[in-house]
Amino acid sequence: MTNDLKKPQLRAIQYFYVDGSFEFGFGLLCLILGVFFYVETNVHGWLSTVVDSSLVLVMIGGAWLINRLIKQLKERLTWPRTGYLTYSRRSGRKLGWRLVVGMVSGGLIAAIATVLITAPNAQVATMPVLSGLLLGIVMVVIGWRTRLNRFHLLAGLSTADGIAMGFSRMENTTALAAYYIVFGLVLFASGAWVLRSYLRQNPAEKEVLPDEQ
Amino acid sequence: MSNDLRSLADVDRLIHEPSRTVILAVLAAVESADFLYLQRETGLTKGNLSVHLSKLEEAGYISIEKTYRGKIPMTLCRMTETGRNAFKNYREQLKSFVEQT
Repeated sequence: MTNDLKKPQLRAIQYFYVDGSFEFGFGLLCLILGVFFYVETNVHGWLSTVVDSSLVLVMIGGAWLINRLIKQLKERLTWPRTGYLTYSRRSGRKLGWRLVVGMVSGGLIAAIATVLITAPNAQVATMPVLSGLLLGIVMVVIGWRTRLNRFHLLAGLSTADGIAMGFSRMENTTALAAYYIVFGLVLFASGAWVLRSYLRQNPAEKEVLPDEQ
Repeated sequence: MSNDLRSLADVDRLIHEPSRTVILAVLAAVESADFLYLQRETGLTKGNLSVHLSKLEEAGYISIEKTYRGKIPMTLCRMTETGRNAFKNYREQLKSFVEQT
């Protein structure tokens, strides 16, 4: 019985990811970053300085865009079909666990970065490998929290994408741009697949016209 | 009556009803849920769900807010602190009963 009580609670947590809007939003951010790094490698002179210094703005603007996109998608597609949920902000012990996971992940990535950077005759572009690992960890955490297996698959794809771009002999920033564009497209594909199955399972209710009543 | 059974007899009868248990389980995991979500989760008709929500509201376990999202009316349910404590006690009672038997 107590285990049965956890099922509706787990479904409530999974509900945020039920329509693929998270993948669309996150995928869009990856594409924006990919285009940003691509532009960064192809501009020179004063324009290069402007682009370099606008990364923070791109991140903040991208995050804002993600929130808008996810909210718009949910407002139009999800909430009218299957209902509306809001989630409370994390606090106390759960926030502590998040910090621990964040610190362990950060330490792990810093260690790998040190090994890759200090390796003699390193032929590896470190940034895409590290980004692949970092986003892979983010996906694993989401998958573990929601028990949705597709996030573990996305974690594997992110890591494989990062390693492939790292060993592709491309210049560091170009490889990073390629990593983000590929992973953004992967997220879009995942989001589209999830949205398609969600819409099939939850078709819009037909409006009953007055003369049909 | 043995102690094991007495602990089960002491459970909150208001919560110990499958539909109301599901409603509270959902509300314990989120900040708020609307009528449509709860209806789909419990599988109840609108009328039955309304009755269960009213009982929980009368007991002070949940609060119900009638609001609008854009132009669409929405009934938003939240668990109160009293409800949270009652549900926590209920889960502990059930757990201890299962462990003892």
